[in-house]
Amino acid sequence: MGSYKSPPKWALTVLQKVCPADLIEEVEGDLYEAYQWRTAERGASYAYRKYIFEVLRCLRYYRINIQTQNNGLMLLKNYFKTGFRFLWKTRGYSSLNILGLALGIAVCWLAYIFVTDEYSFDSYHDNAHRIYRPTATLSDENLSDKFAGSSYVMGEELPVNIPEIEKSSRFKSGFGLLRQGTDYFNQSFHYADPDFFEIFNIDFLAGRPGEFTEPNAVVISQQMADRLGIGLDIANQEIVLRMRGEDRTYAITGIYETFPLNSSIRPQILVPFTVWASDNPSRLNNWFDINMNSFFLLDEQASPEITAIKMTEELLKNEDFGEVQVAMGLQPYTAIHLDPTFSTGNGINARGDNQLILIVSIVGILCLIIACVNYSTFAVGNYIVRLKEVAVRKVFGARKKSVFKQFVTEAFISAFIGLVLSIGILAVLLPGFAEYANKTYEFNQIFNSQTLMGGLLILVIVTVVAGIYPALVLSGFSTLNGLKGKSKVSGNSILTKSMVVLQFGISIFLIAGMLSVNKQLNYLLNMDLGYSGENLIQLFRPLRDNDLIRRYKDDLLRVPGVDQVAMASGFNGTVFELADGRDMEVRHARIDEHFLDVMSVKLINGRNFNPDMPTDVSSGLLVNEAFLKETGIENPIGYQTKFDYGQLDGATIIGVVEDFYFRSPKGKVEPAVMYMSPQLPYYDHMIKVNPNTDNILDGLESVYHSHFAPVPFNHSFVEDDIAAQFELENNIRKISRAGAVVAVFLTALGLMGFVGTQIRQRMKEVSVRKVLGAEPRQIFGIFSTRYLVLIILGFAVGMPAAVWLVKQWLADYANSVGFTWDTGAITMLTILAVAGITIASQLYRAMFLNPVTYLREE
Amino acid sequence: MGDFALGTLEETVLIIVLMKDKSYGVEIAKVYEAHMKQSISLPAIHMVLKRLGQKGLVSSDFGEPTPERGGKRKKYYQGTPAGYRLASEIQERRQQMWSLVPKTSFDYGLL
Repeated sequence: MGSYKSPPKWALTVLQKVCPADLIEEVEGDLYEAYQWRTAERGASYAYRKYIFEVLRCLRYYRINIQTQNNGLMLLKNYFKTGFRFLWKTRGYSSLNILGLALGIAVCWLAYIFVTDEYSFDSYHDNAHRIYRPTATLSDENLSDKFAGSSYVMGEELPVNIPEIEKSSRFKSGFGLLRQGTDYFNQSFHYADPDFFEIFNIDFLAGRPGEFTEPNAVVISQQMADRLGIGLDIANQEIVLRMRGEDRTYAITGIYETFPLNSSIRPQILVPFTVWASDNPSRLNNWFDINMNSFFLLDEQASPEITAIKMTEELLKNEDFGEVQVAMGLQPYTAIHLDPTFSTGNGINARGDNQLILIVSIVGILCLIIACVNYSTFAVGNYIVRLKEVAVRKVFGARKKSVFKQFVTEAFISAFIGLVLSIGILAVLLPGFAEYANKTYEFNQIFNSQTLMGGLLILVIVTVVAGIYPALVLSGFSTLNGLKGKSKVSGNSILTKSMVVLQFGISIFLIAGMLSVNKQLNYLLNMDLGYSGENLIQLFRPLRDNDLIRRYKDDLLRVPGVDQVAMASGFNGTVFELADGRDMEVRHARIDEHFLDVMSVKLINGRNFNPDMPTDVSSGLLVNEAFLKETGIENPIGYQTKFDYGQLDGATIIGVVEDFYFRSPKGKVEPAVMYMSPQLPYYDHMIKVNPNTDNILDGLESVYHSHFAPVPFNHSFVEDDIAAQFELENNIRKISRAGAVVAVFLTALGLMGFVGTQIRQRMKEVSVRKVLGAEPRQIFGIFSTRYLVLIILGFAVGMPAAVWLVKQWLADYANSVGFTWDTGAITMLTILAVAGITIASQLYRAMFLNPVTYLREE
Repeated sequence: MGDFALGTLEETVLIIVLMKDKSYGVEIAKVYEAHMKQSISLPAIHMVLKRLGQKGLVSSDFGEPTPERGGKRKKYYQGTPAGYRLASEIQERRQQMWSLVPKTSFDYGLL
């Protein structure tokens, strides 16, 4: 006999696992021999199949194995049985307890879904780790400016000259009007290069992008195709986009699968970059005309740092920057969503918010901790009921380890039921949460394997965290004392108390945080912005032609209900040279003589523009207080500045206005200058209206259409715009409010269980006190003071943490309320009220009990 | 049928064990397949041998480890006197009954 073929290893392992000890040698030997014999007689694959089949047949020995060897499985079954019995016995408290656990799990699960979704952004592309986006940093002594993007020529030349760049595509957003029938709708589209389809995972459902250089062919997403109602049949399909003032017809050559929600780029229409190039011939050769994004796919071995240095070298070869230091960089594509260093835009969707992620994580984890602690205190609170059972188990030979296992198993039962229930809670919470977090979540879309993994992870954590403390206490209990019914366990009450303190601490932390967020937002919303958005409607359209402006304005004023109309360009930034030669950043805008009135901006020195004075129109300047403060100009009126922009040179200050927040109210008011000189087109049309007039918008729309058709009428209410600036804060407020409510609810639930079990065990004491003449009020006093101490300790833990975090958060705001004492006081009162009601509800029975009921048995 | 009821497979395996001085699992399987013209799984034989052992119809002992068994010992089975008696009794009764079946009959298509 030569060598022996060995049967499959895994099957052998299974066999050894299931086979009882007295059978294993015979069975293993026989199967091995039969394997050889069958291999020789009927071939290897037959023997293989037969071997596995026979091993599977041996699985029936497993039962014998359990019964003959007293292993853990049988005990485990028993643990489940006693666990369920106990749950059923205490079903009132248990269902509250499990419901609390389910709520905690649901909140934590939701946080998990949100956070993993945010972190999963853009990572689904096969090449995700090799895709980079160019960035640039400019710096001199005073200023350092970081921005993301590249110029057209960079996208052209860099991939050719730098071997590390394997593929590259420029990417830029464009806006136009989409024609459907005879109507036009605003529609964004994106320019891209042919490599775009190879850098990213893009599946084509119909057609192909082809060369993607022909100027008359585009590809669209499935979502867009659905909107156009063309299905997947692209033969002879066309799309009409109005851009640069003309209707252009493009053939649709392909339909790709719509980009998923967790993607930073979600183009609906992709237009070849050649279209942009032929529209903008003057912008093709300027190396530092950074107005678009590019994506580079680097070589597997390439280092992004070295590639960036090479990019800088290429740039410096072609462009002279004088004194200014310039450095190109590469930002990993997957970092775009969460890295606040570089801006988004130009085809890249808004970034995720790290603050929101942090807050959601904190709320999720804290709610889970509270729920776990609830379970622990409840389980330990019931230890007297279980002591005899544990003692009997020990007498029959149970070790510490097996009692430990028993109580962890019970925690698992509760956690599992909680997990199942939490799916229902999740389904209820998800739509509301999605709205707060500015996400589009679909329940079945979100419920994928990753989410389920998160659920299992939470299950394990809850089992361990919630189960370990009761398991330790109960397994460590002395058998003899258990049988005697002695219940005092030294030390554990301190731990239980400190857990209750922890819960209060967390609740106080969340309430104080929520109140501070609330207060800050109210403050910001009611802050004096220096102007009023009341009854102010804003329309948009760049206007250069003075004639057109006059006719348009006259038409607007004729609409019933329109009081006043002002024009403004919006504030841009430029560098302004001070008298001593220093540079200063300043905001500037073109406004007309009605702007101050319409916006209710106060003039505090000098005078407003007068359109009849030629010098006002050519070189008059209004400045704000911040400008005076920054420049140190003392007698502003008549001061000739060195401000120059476009044709404007050496403008003279004729008036000073009070500071107003022309940009984000979260920052400071920047130095600003305003002029009438036509250096910029008017863009914002501010219309003060009388709120008591009907159909103003219809009137405005028909005027707008008569001048600018087919551009669709777009308007906004300035008050809404101000509120929209605080959308993030508003979302944070809602989420922290919901989190605080859940936390307080859970804490109250836990306190109820904690106090309830304690009181039930002390009914005899209370009865004796009552027999000796104690009033209900006194009994309430005796019990509530001890809980009051716990609440105060919790306050000492939670409050400093809240103060610290709120101060960190508020540091981002130029105007903040800070952390004030009334916030602390309100927090304390809320907690005291909730705790008082909870304790009273449990004490009620003790306060008014009939002593006979509890004393009769002795 | 004595004190024990035997299943068909038990009976067959018992007879195979009685054929030789001593035999073991795989050998029994081979003999079974040769005579019955059908394959059998080893765990089934092990199960049957275990039951026969419990009924005292076969006894067993371990042999020496051999390489074709992957270094495991063979477990040899031998028929006990009780096993032999039971098997022969069954055969006799069956013979008796068979002798009562008419050897020539139109009903079975034999003529």
